[in-house]
Amino acid sequence: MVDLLLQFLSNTGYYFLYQDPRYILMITIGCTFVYLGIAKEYEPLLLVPIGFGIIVGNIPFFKGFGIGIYEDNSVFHYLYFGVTTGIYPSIVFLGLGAMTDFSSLLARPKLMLLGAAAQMGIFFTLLSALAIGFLPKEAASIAIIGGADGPTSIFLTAKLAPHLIGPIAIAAYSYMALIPVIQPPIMRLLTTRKERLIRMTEPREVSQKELLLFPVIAVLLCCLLAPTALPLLGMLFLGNLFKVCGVTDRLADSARTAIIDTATILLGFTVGASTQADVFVNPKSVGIFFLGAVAFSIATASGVIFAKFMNLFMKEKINPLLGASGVSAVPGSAREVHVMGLKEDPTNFLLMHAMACNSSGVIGSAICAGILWSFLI
Amino acid sequence: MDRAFDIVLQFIINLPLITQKGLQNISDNNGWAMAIVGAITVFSGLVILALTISQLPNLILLLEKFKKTNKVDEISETPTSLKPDVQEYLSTDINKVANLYRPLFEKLGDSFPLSALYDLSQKEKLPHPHITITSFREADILISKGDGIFTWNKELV
Repeated sequence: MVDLLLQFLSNTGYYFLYQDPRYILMITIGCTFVYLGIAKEYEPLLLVPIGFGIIVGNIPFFKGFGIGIYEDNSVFHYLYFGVTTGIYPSIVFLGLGAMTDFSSLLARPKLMLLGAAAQMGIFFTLLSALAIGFLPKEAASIAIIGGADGPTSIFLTAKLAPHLIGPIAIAAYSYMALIPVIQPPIMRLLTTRKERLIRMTEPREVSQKELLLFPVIAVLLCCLLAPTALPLLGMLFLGNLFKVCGVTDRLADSARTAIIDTATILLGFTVGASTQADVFVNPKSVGIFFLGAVAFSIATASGVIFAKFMNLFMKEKINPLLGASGVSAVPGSAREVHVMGLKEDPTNFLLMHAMACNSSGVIGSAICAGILWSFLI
Repeated sequence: MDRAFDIVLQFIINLPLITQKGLQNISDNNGWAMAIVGAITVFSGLVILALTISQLPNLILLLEKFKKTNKVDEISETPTSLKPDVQEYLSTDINKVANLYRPLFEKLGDSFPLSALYDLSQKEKLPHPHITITSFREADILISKGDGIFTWNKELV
């Protein structure tokens, strides 16, 4: 009887926790994510499922029972299929398209350049990752964190370096959640108070026809340039067409509510669960987190610096804070820019303009993912 | 403490070597080309998209102008077919008749003398232009701007 009891105890999670304390570290990280999501309301829609996924994924078990996410025929393995094949990111983009209002971007197309400039963080990080010794496919997957776009990072990593999905997804979403901590010091450092006070003029009114033509033109131009971005941009602009065409309101409603919510839950949970301590806690993950922070910071800085550069040639000046929203963390970075603008001048509303940069950042980072994928196929 | 100091010192001493190795890694993996071509491609892609969408209003305006010209042509090509419609509308709905006159209003612009509208409607062989124009004035579809110049009420047409 004692033998049976001991055998049972040696198969419990407590025993494995005792055997490998890395699981305790990961469970603590999971709890922190859940805490930040609920108590601090840092991107709760992402951090709560991811955090809980980390907790669930790091409950140690006896290998071979078909329980873990990396074991064939387990339920989690099937759910994880949507991540490794890039299905969930595409569905998230569909919902994102159905949510996004491109009218501010159409009213002021030059703001799209800030979305392009903010992608420079990706290429700088690509070089840094290669210099540190990561393989090219791994370096490209890490670099895309600079786009600050979780689904895009997961999509590219699933294609190029599936073994790194866990750390890259966690890094990307962590930095997206930490936008209020990371971006403001960079924005303040790179701008003067006078620049932060610049007011943007009211954007012109955009006609329904322009809104209708935009998704068609954009998908053609972007995907002919980088066809590998089709799974993301194709879905993004399809969702947007549903929203603006006026005859598919039901589809648009489903895409921006039930469909994107389902995909976000499954994506967040399975990505969290994929961070099993035995495959996650290693020096590579530390390197990824470090490079992710570098990528995100440089992306923010390059957007701000480029906005200042544009101001040298423009009569109507742009508030350089908008450059920081060129990263594609929608709508977190736009909100942060707006808040900082309000701190300097409570009557200066930058949100609408920042959303224009933000949405161009989404397009830009998806194009970057397509380009990097096509380089390394 | 001494150990940490040693590690930092070793790192500083080896920094040129580490940098050289890093640069070598980038070159070996074609990193410079990937970064430069990638950055240029994404930038040019978004610049082209920005330029295209900045021209969208002009493109739409051009298409609408083309469409309107075709409509006016259609009216002038098939005047006989309009006659029964106009007569039918005149007795029922002035706004529908005004819709028939819309291409003419648009051709004349925002301000015009009534004589110009009269001449154009005759040229387009629309029936009873005088009665129609009088009805338009009574229905406030044509509004006087003074000095014999009129404009058309875009909200009603």
